[in-house]
Amino acid sequence: MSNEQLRLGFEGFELKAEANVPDGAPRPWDLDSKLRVVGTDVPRLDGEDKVTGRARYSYDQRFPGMVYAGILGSPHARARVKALDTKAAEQLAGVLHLEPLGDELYYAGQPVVGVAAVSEEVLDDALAAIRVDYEVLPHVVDTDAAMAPNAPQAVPRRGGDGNVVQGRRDTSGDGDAKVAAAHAAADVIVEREYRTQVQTHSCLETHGTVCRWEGDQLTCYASTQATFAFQNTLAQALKLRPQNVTVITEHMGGGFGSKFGADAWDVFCARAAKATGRPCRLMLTRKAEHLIAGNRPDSIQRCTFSASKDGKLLGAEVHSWGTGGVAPSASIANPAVYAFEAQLSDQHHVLTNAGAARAFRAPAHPQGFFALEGMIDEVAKELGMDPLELRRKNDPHPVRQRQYEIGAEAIGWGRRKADGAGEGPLKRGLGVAAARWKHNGRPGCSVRCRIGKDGSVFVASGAQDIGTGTRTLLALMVAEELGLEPSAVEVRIGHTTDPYGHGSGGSVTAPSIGPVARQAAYEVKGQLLRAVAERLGVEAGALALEGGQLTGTDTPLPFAKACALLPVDAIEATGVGTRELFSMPRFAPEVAGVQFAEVEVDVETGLVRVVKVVAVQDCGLVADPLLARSQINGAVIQGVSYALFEQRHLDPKTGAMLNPNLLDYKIVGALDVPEIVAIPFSVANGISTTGMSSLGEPPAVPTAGAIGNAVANAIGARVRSLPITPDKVLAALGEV
Amino acid sequence: MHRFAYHTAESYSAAAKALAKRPEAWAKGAGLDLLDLLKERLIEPSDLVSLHEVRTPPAKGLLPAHTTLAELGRDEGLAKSFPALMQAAAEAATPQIRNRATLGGNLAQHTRCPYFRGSDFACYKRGAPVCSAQEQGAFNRYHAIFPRGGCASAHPSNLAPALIAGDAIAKVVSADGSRDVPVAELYGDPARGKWSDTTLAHGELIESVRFEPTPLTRRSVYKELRERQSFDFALASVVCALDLREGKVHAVRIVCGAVAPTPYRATDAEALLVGKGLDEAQITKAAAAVVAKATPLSGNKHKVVILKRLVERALRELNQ
Repeated sequence: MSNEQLRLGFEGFELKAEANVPDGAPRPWDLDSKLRVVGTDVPRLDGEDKVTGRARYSYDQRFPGMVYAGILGSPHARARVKALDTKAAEQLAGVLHLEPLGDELYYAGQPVVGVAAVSEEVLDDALAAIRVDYEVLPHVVDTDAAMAPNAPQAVPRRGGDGNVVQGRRDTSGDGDAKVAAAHAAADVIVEREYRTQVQTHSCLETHGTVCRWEGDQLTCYASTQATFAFQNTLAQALKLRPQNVTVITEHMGGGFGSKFGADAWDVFCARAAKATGRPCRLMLTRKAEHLIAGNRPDSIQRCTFSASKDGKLLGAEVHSWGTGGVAPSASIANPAVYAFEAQLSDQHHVLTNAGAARAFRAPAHPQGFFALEGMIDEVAKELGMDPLELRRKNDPHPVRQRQYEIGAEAIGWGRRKADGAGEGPLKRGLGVAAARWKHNGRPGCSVRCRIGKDGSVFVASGAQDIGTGTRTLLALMVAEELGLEPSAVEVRIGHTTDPYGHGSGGSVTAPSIGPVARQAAYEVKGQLLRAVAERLGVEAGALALEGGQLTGTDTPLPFAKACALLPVDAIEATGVGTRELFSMPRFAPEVAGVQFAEVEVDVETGLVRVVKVVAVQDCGLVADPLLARSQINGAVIQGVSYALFEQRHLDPKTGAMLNPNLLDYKIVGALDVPEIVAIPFSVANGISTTGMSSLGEPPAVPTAGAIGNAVANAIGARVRSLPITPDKVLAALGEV
Repeated sequence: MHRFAYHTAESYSAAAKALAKRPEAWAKGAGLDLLDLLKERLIEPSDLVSLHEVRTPPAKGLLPAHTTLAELGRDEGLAKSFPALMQAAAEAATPQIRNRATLGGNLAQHTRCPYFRGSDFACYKRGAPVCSAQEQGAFNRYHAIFPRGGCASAHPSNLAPALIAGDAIAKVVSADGSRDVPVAELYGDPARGKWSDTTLAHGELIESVRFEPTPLTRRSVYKELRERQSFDFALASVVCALDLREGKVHAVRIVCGAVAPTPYRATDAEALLVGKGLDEAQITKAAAAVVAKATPLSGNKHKVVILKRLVERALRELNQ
């Protein structure tokens, strides 16, 4: 263990901290580090493969003799299978395997029968030929209806009746009494109800896998954001050892939190492959993807916020209800961020007959922050205070304080007019909202790095790329340490035969494998330098790798020439993510971000267009600003989509989904994507030896809140419900 | 996948003959409407007769049914002779869809009502006794706001209101020959079990559409509002066409889309304008008259406001 003085923070706000660096680990990157490739715009290494179609996704895997599997989903929101007649389906030429998957059905789309057939066409015929006699039972799919005392029990629950399940109940200090006291002492109290909708993940590549058995060894080409979780859950379901299951995910078409472990249909796919003795492919249909592969719960948030007349936020009380379908998982992140004197969050999960919610990019946050940030603006309005000023007064985070300044400048906050001001039907408005996330880099991953005698460099991690650029990140870490260009590093990811990596959930991947990749490269560099030093008869400590060369000798040696001096064919090191590697001092307790939105609202038709979004986002030390901007852009686009368009519509009468496609389930298109000014805000954060932190989720937190506030500023009336569609805008304006 | 025989027709009349022989056959143009119905297994045709390869020789003043929306949307001639038609084509769907979608298909397409399109639901058009969109608590944000009888679907065509406003005539071919049908008469009231909104019989196909450039078509405009700016159908749309002579309205057409099961011509509002000068007061009165008979459903009152605004904007623009 050695002590290192680190300079952390950002320009204008720095602090010195002492780090205990484990033996054999490099000095952590901080503000003093002179980095060569880290921090520069490096294009995604597999970008060309992706845009040319060379990248092979699970969906693209084809094997000789491969069969196609699919599932018949329940057409009813609540039913029991009385009788199943599969004779006609089984007699169809080309139907190779069929098995029932469930008979007590709690939501439309729930798997009833699985089928495998020689082609997609035969599969489709077989699914259509299955006759199911359902006993249709009472159902409830609407959150409000499910909360009514006489509502049908959506799904049986342990320890109680009714569909409303008490969730988290967090109080600060003396609890409820303290919030009441804060309200009582306040000059301004605002009480409002906000609502958000159910959003489905709508992964471009639907869920699924291609399974292939060789003896007892199963290989799954899975569309997953957690290769090892997929391996583990599938092995458990099939009663295999994990070593008998290899998961391969070199590319995957979106997960957003919905693709962790193996699902029931993946297990069926593996069984069908075994039963038919042929490779088997099962990718969900778009309809099933909407119905059964996850969603973001909706929310009803009854908020009471209070403040003193000089703009000190006092009490925040939030009572919330939301449905995660059959899963009690409708948490919200509200209140958050601001330094209230006292706060209470009283949350409830409402059971309904709909597919279960799953983690969705910053779970609990976009919905919570739509209400939270709306409430902050409503308090500011009551106080007659600029909403940005109110935030700055109550936001304890040093990074966000600086980000407010940068963002306000970039959006031109000074132009902000009084609510509803301006001539003509097209009204412009500006809004702001904050983002938070945890520093989610964590120990436990390993990465292997190998240098060949020919000078080739290979790095391998079994972790996957959910889309953030895992390959590029690994290459960057190794290239920085070895003094090479990232393109000189060959990377393999997404094979569970390689070292363990965490599932990509919570924005953990880059901050967890980054330091470990650096560690692997650092260790293998040490081996190389020692071997070369021995061969040349010099001190290893005098040698270094920089600019593609070995330096410290009389004349610098090209990297490959130096490698040629190795006494063995290859050297290798596995970086291990020890707890010590992640125990560096940290600059700030959380990841910080702010977003500013400008909208244009047609007050005659209610149509909202988002004109511009400025997103200033901290993610620790920025490893690759180009990829960081790409992640921020993606989050903002998804946020605009959530704010204005997306909504799962279930028919209350049948419980079936009315828009289970990508025409009627409206996802933002190119013409509705605003100008996005993505500003990665680099903070030397400490935490680990690379100072990097989480990025995938935090910029997805504030977009809807900022847009909601901009709309209110534009029209002088507030829409407290997502998505902000023309009908709601017209209603807020009193036009309907 | 449902099995069918696939035929490629060389002409519309050959296609019509092929269809006439097969009561369960469907015609396929670009397939944009048809393939959705097939994939949902709403229809199980015995045969598909492809119109995709049919090419009719160009003739002046005649728009072949295979003309794509992309072609219409960039037609310089239309920009002068019938701007509303050009605009209606250019506003539809997405560039990819406009490159495939045809004039004939756009006129003959089925409604986008989710209850019609989803096999999970009962639909009056598909033979159910009731219209699910009019049930209590139903999702009807995008549906009809005008009297609808048994069906509350909204008509999806961008082009039909324009062509009706332009007094366009469709040439309809069948095994027996051909007949001229005003585009306005291509559409009839919805009836239980009658899938299509068109008045065409099985085996009848639109071969072409023609219109005479008139003062009305030359001074015409298309306005629509959709939630999403690409890949979305209109919440409401309107074509206004105006023949102003010596400061007075000589003739006017106001035809609305997406607000009734068929294109909706607002004759009351037209009558109110004819013979008078056009000023802001008249425009407001006319727009109010367009929606005077609206009877919106539980979830689509906003469409009344939006339609009224679109009419005002269209008339204002034409009056400039």
